[in-house]
Amino acid sequence: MSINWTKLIFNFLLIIVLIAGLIFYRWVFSYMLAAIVFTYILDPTVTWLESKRLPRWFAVLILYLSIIGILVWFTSRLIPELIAQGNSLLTILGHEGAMSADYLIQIPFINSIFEYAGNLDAQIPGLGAATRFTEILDNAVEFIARLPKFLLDNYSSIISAVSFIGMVPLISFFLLKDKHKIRKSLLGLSSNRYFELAIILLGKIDSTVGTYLRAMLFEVIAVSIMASTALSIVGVSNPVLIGISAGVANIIPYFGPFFGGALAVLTVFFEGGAFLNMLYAALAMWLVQVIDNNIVYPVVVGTTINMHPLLVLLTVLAGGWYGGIFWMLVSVPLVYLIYSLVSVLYVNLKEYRII
Amino acid sequence: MQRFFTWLKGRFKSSRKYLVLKQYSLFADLSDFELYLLYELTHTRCFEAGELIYEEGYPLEVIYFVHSGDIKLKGLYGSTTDKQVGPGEYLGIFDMYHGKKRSSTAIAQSDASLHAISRTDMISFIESRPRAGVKILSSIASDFCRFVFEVAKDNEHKLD
Repeated sequence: MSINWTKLIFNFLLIIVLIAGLIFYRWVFSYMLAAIVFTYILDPTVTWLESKRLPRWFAVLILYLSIIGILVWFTSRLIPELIAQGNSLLTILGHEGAMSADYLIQIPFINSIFEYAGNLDAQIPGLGAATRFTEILDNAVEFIARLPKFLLDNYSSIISAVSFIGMVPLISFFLLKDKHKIRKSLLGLSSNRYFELAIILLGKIDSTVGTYLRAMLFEVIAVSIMASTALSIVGVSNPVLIGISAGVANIIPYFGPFFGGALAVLTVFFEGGAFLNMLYAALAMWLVQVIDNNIVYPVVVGTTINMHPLLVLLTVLAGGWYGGIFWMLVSVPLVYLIYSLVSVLYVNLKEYRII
Repeated sequence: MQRFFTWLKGRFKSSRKYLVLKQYSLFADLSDFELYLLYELTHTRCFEAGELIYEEGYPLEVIYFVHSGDIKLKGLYGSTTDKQVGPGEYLGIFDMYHGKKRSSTAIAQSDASLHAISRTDMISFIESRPRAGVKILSSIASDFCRFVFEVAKDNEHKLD
């Protein structure tokens, strides 16, 4: 069998060019990824506007202007309130006086437990329940004291992300405007032999990623609104901020809902609220979870991610160990996407008699 | 100012490449705008003479429309004779409604250029634009009737 040297050298050079391209553009991968997410969320609206006879570029422009309008309204109406709530929450959680066992013992609910422990000590000599209780409080305080520092440390990265946020809509504009051209170019790269397979895979990515992202966005908004409303009804301070935090955290399976509930209860706790108020806050968040799990999630997210609960739990844990909160957020959809693609690829490679 | 408006008008007006789809009976009755939307979903594929387009039993994901060149269909619905498909004709529509597997093998007889539309995109287009969908489905029904009569006539000849 003769070797086609020209083809071999061309393929070799092509691989070198591809690797050089990957190295050169590696810094913008995160920008591209975020822009793709943004594009998937906005695409159905752009396509709908296009079907109403608007040119695609004009449809994207109208959508952007609408989003900017909503953001301006949101900023002028809600941001001052959110900043005030954020400062108040940080003061409650991060005040030096608040972060000591002595301060906490003054809180009525804690004080009653401390007094009870003191009574036990008086009745059972050598038990040392009050001392043990103070030690537990000290440890808890030390743990909670790290929270505001963690938030403040990340504020610098949030500020540096502003440029990132500015670039993403720009990239997304071109992705939305030229969606069909990009799609055609990508599929044009495949040979005739793999063309149908490439269409199937691209379709699978489109449906899995697009549906999941849009469903998640809807769920975040729904949980944020429900949690804010429920918390304001039971009288928890900073309901909007806690509601939004709970909504965003809700994306992380199992751990997210717990985070939202804990934040609400801790806020009441550090404000010196009675045990009953903490119970109300917990009940409100639990009710939000019941509505989310039984109505919102099945209707909106449904079977977009069909994974065994144990696998979801293990994936979230692994994501957390691997790269913190960000990987806890993305690990489940990423694993599901890879799993779906591999299974679709395997089935179709067999059916197209390629393997 | 006049030049600006001409430029702006040009921005709203797309090139009329999509009119190429008019040559297919399925899309002949569609409006320009419907053709434009459909063309956005269309891919152009070129095959060399003798190249396999698809094989019997393959999953059906793409419907092909022959733009130029000739295609040979082998084993169409169990038939032992080959069928030739030329410009303006299509491959895969009947299979789309019948088991979603290719019922024949298609090979390019000469260098051929085909327009390809994903089955999923086609169904989604029909569902999202019912008026255009009715026109397409009417053409399919009409072609299907013609096909059935042709098969019946062939069988009659064979029996004679």
